[in-house]
Amino acid sequence: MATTESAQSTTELPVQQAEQDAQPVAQERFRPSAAGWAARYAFAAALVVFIFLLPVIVPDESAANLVVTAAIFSCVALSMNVLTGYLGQLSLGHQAFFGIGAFVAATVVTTHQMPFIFGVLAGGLSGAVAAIILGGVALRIRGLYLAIVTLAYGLLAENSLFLIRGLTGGGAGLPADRPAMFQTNARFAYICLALLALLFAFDWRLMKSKAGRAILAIRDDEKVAASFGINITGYKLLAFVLSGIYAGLAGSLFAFQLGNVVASPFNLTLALTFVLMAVVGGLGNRVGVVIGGAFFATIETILELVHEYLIILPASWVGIELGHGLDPTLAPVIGAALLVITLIQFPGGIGQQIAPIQNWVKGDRFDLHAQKDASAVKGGASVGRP
Amino acid sequence: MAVLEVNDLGIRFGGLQALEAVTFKAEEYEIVGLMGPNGAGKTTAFNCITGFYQPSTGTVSYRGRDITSLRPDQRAALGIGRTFQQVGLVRTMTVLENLLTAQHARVRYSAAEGMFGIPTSLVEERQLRERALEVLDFMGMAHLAHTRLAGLPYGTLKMVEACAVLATDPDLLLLDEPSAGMSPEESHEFGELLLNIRKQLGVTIVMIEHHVPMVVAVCDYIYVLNFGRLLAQGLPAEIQSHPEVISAYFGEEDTYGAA
Amino acid sequence: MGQLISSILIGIVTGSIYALLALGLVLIFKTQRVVNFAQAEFATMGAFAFYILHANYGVGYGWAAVLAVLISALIALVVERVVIRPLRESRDVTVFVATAGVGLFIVSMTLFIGDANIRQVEPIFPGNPGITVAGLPISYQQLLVIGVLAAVAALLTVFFKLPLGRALLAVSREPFAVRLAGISTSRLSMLVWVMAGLIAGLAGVFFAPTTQLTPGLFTQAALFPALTGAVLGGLTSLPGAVVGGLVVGIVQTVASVYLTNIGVPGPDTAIVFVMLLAVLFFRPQGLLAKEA
Repeated sequence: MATTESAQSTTELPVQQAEQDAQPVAQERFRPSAAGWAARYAFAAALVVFIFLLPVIVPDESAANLVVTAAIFSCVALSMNVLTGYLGQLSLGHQAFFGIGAFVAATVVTTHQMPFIFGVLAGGLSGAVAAIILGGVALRIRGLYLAIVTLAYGLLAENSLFLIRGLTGGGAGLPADRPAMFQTNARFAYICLALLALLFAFDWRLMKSKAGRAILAIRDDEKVAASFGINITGYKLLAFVLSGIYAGLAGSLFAFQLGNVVASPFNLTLALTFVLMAVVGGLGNRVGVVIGGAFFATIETILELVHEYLIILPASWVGIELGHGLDPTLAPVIGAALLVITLIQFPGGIGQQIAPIQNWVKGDRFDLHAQKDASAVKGGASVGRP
Repeated sequence: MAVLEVNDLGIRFGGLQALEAVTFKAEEYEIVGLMGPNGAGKTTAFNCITGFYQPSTGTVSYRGRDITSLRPDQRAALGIGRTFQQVGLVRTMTVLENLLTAQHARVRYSAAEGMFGIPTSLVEERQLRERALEVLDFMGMAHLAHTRLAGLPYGTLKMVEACAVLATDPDLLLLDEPSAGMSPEESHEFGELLLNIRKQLGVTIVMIEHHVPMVVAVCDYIYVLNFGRLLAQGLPAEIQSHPEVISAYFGEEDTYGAA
Repeated sequence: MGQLISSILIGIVTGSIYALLALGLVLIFKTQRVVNFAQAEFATMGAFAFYILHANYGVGYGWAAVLAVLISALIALVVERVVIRPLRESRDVTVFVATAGVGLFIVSMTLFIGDANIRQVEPIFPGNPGITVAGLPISYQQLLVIGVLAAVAALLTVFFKLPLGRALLAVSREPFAVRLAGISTSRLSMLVWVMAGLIAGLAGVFFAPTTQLTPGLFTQAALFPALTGAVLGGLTSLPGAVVGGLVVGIVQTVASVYLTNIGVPGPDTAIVFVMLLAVLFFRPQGLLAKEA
């Protein structure tokens, strides 16, 4: 083989003699035609356009608020994905980072009268700080025990930290006013979607770089990773920090969505919902967890719509009158059931189910039985090390 | 100066003295064999050299520099490559991704530059990829580049591991039972490959091996461990006929077979 | 001083609940390396079953209690068959998440089928009599909880001397050998979960009258301290579960008083958090177990 421009090596590697056994012919990778590529780009573009048109095409403010919630939760899903999907560390207390982001953002904007953008950035930073503390603990404690510590961390935040009067305004809560230009839900939704796009793009770059590969390697086998020259401590902490930043930023937007931040939303149920989003979405799969986040943010509405249009309406056609209004408490029941079902039966979650589509867009043939493209990001049903 | 020098290495695990007063070295471009019955402490010695264990006594030096207190990833960054008995690869990644990840220590762009997609990092990524594909081609594994490791046969995984470690352009190569699971013919070919690699790439190799014919054919010098201590050392011919070495291996007929 | 004594006594009562839940947690962990997040909900289900049988359907106190405990055990068995068994090859963290899903499922199911209202479970002694210790009233019901712990601990000690009990201990160390001996690990698994369910049911039935019954009661109030107690005692040590649970209960109650006085919010959680970290940093295998 001729030497390449690469400065990695200047020695000439001799050609290896063909081995005795016939080697399978190198598979030519399938390459779509020009029309094929056009179709794929059109599909992807249409999808992106649709998402960004959502705030304007939804009928009213409350629907726009759903878009806001979906975007924010999707950002948290990406955060969970970095820690639980890529690094393989279960986080049962993620509401701590989310909540700290919210409280700090509100404090910065209200108590210190600083502009919105500083609030958001401060929220992100505080999430990072909270996460790095946990990361430090993670260097000593591992696996199941660390999972219990994350649970404890979240409970501590919920019951103690967020109730400290000086920090969080006690019972009345901390107000967080949106900037004048983004008062309406539709406009605020654009900020949230922008954050989602930003985090998504950053995450994509992360996994294409050595840092992303390092984190995945650590999840798989720390000894191997170290022998590759990966600084285990450094990259573990990096994963925690990134996860904290994503969650902190999302939390700060959450503060502005609520308008007034109190401690009560940041409870164990929220933490479990976050786990749900990531696992059902598909650990390690960026698109999957975003769908998971959006799904669980809007599940009550989805159930309502299903109830209205798939049950009540057809029933009325055959003359059966059913009562309107679906019990919203059904949502967490379904969520929990989905979590367990995903773990047992559908390891890759939603991400696995949409793998055929994802692979197609990336340039493969459309194959219903495709695995998620043979790439590193494969968490599967196993939380933690595969 | 020797590329690798292990001096008076000792390590205890609880009540067990796994290594005691072990001293050996590898000179530039040598292929050194480390032999001994199972449980003699060979892999333990490797783990001390690569930094996974901290010895209780003794030092490990690389090109004259004491590296005993360095972390494993720091030692890898110096140019020490290592293979594992159980195949040290990232199982969830593809072959190509493993080669990319394995080159981690060689990557010049910083983590931050990579995360923000700074152009120089993109250029370097492409270079990493090219080198990885080059190595795979050299070893005849290019067709597996995009295959995930899970499900590949053991022999293939060992080859992938060899590719991964070669991609890092190592200075010192530590191989832990590289021919395990190979037939005599494959083992012979592998020995030829090692000699080739040594010549072409200019590496120093220390090898834990049981397969005596290959060791004798390939190694310039051999150290034999038993019960954590150095039993014998010398040229392959001397070791082959060394009475204590033979008795240490007594009963391990599959390792002391005819050439 | 008086307050200290009464705090300690209350601490022993709550510690008994933590210990009972911890016993179930350790029983399952010891034999299967699974941390059962839903353990507390088995207790809540026991309490709810008791309430429904006794208050809604007028079943006699004793019968309702027995049936409620059996229902807890049944729920535990169902969880074992439907969720745990399919995941027996999975990583322990995966199963932990699954049990968290089960716990969430049970709590939200309770809210869905029923409502969030507070219910008062009737204590065993009509009128809820008790004693007074250093000015603090302690009901016989609360003391009964301590008695239940003692009884369960005694029963378990006897059980593990029997052949079946010894087989259970064996399976925790050497599952393959146990299978070779012809003992069905599948049945042992079911047995363990049924036992854990029974113990949780007892905790639910006897503790619920001392407080207000709401969905998710035991997960809210006791899961985290019970987990910490189990870790403190050693996740593979059954006596450790008892000791750990009691210690957590006592320290929590006593320290809470002090922490509240200096204005720390959420002192109950904070003190248990500190205890958990202390154990994991300084003695990860816990007080009574040999390895982590």
